[in-house]
Amino acid sequence: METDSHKPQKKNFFSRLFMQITERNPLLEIRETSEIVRYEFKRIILTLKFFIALSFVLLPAIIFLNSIASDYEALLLDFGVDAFRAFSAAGFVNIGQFLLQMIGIMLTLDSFGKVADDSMKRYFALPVRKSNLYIAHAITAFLGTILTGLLGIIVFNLILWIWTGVSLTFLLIVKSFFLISAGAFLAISITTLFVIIANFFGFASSIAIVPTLFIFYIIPFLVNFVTSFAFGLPEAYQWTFMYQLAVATDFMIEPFIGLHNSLEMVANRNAWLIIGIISGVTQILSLIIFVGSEK
Amino acid sequence: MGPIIRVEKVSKIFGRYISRARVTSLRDIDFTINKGERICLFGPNGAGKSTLMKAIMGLTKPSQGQIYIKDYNVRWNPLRVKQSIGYLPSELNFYLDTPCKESLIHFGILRGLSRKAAKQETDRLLELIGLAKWWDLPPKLMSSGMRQRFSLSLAIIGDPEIILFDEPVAFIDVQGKLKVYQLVQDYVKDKAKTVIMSTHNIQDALVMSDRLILMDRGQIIVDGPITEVISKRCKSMEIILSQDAPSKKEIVKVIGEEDFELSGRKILVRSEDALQISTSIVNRLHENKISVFSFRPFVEQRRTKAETEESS
Repeated sequence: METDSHKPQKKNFFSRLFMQITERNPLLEIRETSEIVRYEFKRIILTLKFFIALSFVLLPAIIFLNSIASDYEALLLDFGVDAFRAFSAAGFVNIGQFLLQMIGIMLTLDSFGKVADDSMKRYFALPVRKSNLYIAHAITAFLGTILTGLLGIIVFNLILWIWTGVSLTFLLIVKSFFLISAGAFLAISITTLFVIIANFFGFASSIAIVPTLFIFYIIPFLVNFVTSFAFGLPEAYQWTFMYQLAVATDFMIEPFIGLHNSLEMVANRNAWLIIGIISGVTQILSLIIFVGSEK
Repeated sequence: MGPIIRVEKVSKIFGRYISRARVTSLRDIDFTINKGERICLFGPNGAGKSTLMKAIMGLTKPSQGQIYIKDYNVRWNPLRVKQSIGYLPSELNFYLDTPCKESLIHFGILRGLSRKAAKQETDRLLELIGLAKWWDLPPKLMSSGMRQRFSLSLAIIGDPEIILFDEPVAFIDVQGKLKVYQLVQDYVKDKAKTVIMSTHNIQDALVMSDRLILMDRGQIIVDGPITEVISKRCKSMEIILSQDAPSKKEIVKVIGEEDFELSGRKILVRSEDALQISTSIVNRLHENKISVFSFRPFVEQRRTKAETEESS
C-alpha cells in the first residue's frame, strides 16, 4: 500500500487542526472530560480525605483563635457588634484567602505533580485528548478548592453564630466565597504553570511551589518592608498580587486597612482585570505546554 | 489484506532544538506487521525498543518517516490509532490508592464503553486475571505479580486489536511471569490479536512471540521468525567496543568469565545461547558506562575492510 488511504499526507496546519477537532462528536469530548473529572475528584476525596478533614478543622480553628485575640475584644468593646461583624468578615477573607490558596496549591500539585504526571502517561495511551485531560485536571483542582472553601465558610459561620449569636448575611457569605475563590484560582493558575514547566524540564514538581510563595507572600512582604522603610515609596507595594487581591476585595475589608473611600472604581476594576487576565493567560500557557510536550 | 502496522523509514533524534547533544534513538526503521503476528523487539538497554513503541503509540513524534496503524497515520489520527492499541508498560504507572475495579471501569469508559458495559467488562476481566475477590484492593497493597496482572487488564479492557507490552515481566518473579504469560497467550490466541513486546530476555521472547526483531543503537540488525533467528542467524554474536574502551582486564572484571572470546575491542560470543549471553554482556557494559560501538550477529564473510580496521 503506497499511500495513506484515509488521509492525504500533505495538508496545511489549519486543515490538520480542523480535521483533529472535528474527528469526534463534541458530546464525546464532554463525556470524556466529565468522566476524568468524576474519577479524579473521587480519587482526590479518597486519597486526600485526611487533608481535607484537617482543613475543615484548621480553617475554623484559626479563625476562632484569631477572633479571640485581644485586639478583637477591644474592637468589640469600642465599636460594638457591627464593627465586630465587619472585622470578622474581613479577617475571615484574609485568612480564608491564605488557606484556600494553600489548599489550591496542594490540589494542583496532586493533579499535575510528579506522581500525577507519571500516572497521566497511562492516560496518554488511551484515546483521550490531551487538552481534555488538562481541562479535567484543572477543573478537579478548582472544584476541590471550591468545595473546601464552601464548607469552610459554612463551618466558620456556624462557629461564629454559636459563639456570638452574630451571623454573616447570606450575601456576605456568597461574596466572601466568591472573593476567596478568585484568589485561590489565581494561585492555582500560577502554580499549575510552574508545575508544568518543572515537569517539562524534568525537575521535581514540588519546586514549583517556590515561585508561587515568592509571588504571593515573600515579594509583597519585602516590597512593603523595603519601600516603606528604606526608600520612602509606600505606593510600590501596589504592584503586588496581594495588594491587587486586597483591592479586589476592598469592600470586605475597607474599614481596617485604610483604603476606604480612597479607592476609585477604576482601581477596583483594574484589580479584577489583573487577576482575570493573569489567571487566564497562565492557564492557556499551561495548556499549550502540556499538550505540546512529549511524554 | 494489507499489514496492520506499517513503519516507514522512521528516525528519531532527541535534543534537536534545545540541546547541542543530539541522541539518535531510531535510525531508518522500516518494517510491517500483519494482523495476528506476535513480534518481539529484542535488544540491550538503549537499543531504541521503548522509543519505537512510543512512536507506534503516537506518544513520541518521529523526526523522520511515518507510521500507519490500520492505514491511519499515527501523527494525524492519534485518537483512532489509540482506540486500536492497548499498552502495558513495565511498571503499573497508575494511581496506587484507588481500588482496582474503579480504575478499570474508568479505563473502560475512556475506551468508549458505556458505564454498564464497562462494569460488565471489568467483572469479566477481574475474573480472568484472578483478582475478582480483591476488586476493592488498591494496587499499593498488591504484590508485584498482582499489580502486573492488573496492569494487563488495564491494557486489554475495551478489546483493542493491537497490544504493546513494554518489558511486561521485567520486575516480577518466575511464578508471576508464568501467570502473565498464560493470561496473555490465552487472550491473544482466542482473539487473533497482534502483539508487539519488547524485552532483553530471550526466554520471554521465545514464549511470547513468533517473530523477532533484533535492535541495537536504534537500528534493526535482524528481523525474522524467532526460531530461525536464534538457531541460525544469531549463533555467533559480535560486540565491538568504542575507541575509549578500557583494558582487557577491566572488561573481564565487568562482564565476568563467560563463554566469549575477547581480542582488542571485539567480544565474540559463540554459543547456542549467544543472543542471550551477548545481550546481558552489553547490558552490563552499559551499566558500567563502557560504550559499545556495535552489537550484531557475527558473519565473517560479510565484514568489509573498513569494519575490520575499525574493530582492530
